[in-house]
Amino acid sequence: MTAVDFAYHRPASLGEAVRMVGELAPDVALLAGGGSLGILLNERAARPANVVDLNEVPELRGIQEENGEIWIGAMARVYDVESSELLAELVPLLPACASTVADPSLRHRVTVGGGLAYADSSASLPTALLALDGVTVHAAGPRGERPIPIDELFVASHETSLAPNELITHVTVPVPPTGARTAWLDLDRRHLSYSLVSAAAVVETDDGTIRSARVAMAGIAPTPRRLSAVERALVDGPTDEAAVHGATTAAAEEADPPSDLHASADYRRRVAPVLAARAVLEAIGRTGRGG
Amino acid sequence: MNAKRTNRGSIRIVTSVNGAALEREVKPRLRLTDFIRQELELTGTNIGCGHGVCGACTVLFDGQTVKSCLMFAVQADGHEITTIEGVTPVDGLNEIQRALKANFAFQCGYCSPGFVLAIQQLLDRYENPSEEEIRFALGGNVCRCSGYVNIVRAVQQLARERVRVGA
Repeated sequence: MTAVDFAYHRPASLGEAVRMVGELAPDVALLAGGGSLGILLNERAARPANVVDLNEVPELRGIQEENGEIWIGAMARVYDVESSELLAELVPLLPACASTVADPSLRHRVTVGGGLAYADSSASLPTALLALDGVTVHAAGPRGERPIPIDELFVASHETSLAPNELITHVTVPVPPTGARTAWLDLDRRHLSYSLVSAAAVVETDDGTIRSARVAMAGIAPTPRRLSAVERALVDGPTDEAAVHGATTAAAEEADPPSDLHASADYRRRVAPVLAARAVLEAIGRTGRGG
Repeated sequence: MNAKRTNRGSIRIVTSVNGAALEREVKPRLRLTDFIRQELELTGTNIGCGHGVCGACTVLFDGQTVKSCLMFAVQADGHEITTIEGVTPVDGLNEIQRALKANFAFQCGYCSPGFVLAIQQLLDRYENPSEEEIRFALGGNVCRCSGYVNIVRAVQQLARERVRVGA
């Protein structure tokens, strides 16, 4: 099907983009990679009067290291994350996760900012970002720039704390400590389809004891979610398989899963602790930062 | 970027398709696939699912495979598009198409243009891909005849041949 007519706006700079979105809000949709909005427009599920295409805004692109942090532009493609040597070295969780998103052709288009703003309950990269410590999503609007800690971004399924006249400009990711080991695992019906449930783990161990643990999951709640009860149960506990599986049982209580034709809420609640444990164990088993 | 930046009606775009520069007026809602098929009459690019899943609409956008059903023609402004017609010789077939043919990997053929471009991208990135790498790289292309085994075989054979002749 073809989209309902819309007015097309193509800013060539960030300043122009912020001004346009500010003027056109709320009847405006922001076009990033088109992986979700393209479908919504073509199916006429979304009928915005205005579309602002962010693909020609140079300030929104790129991945670089800046003051001990990684700067990732909102319009960085998932393929850019997947193929970034900088991220492979410093934050391998992100390329590991990116390589499981959609398929190669979609990864050439879909973006980091688009995934965050769409806030799907099964979103992969937003979940991996949530598992990392100190990640900030930077938004810009008519009143200027606003840093949003990533755990304050997701409000509900497809709902964020962004105002209708704001757009995401970039994400900053502090480089994790060298001892932090990470893992990304996803469970899907077939590889490259939407993940049913996925898990990101960032773990620091010392002499058979878990010193710190951050676990985030997708597909177990209306939004990507940190599992604080699981993290508390893991910390200061042993790194062996039984202990880790014991600690992640709390994932079932923390889950508030959606139910759809792909997987029931019961199924998701049941696999959540298993996947969380496997992700933590995979991270523990790695040497160096690991992916 | 010659297009007017905002417009309710048609927008003038300047783009390159298969190496030829083009200037056209397009409505913002026109999908890139429909532009290629209907305006340019390059009908090798197909519409399958219209949701960016099946890959029948795959084209190269600035050299990278994309799902053209999820892009709008206005977005081609200032960019280079390559369709299956652009990688097919005037006479005969290219080496990917020949390998697919030799391995009986064309069935109904609807998905084939997308597969050919995805295979080209794969072989640009991997010299001698494993079966797993091939299947992952072609994961965005669906063959409803389910002819995957022969497609994978064709890619493996072509990759081996390229390594052997040092291409």
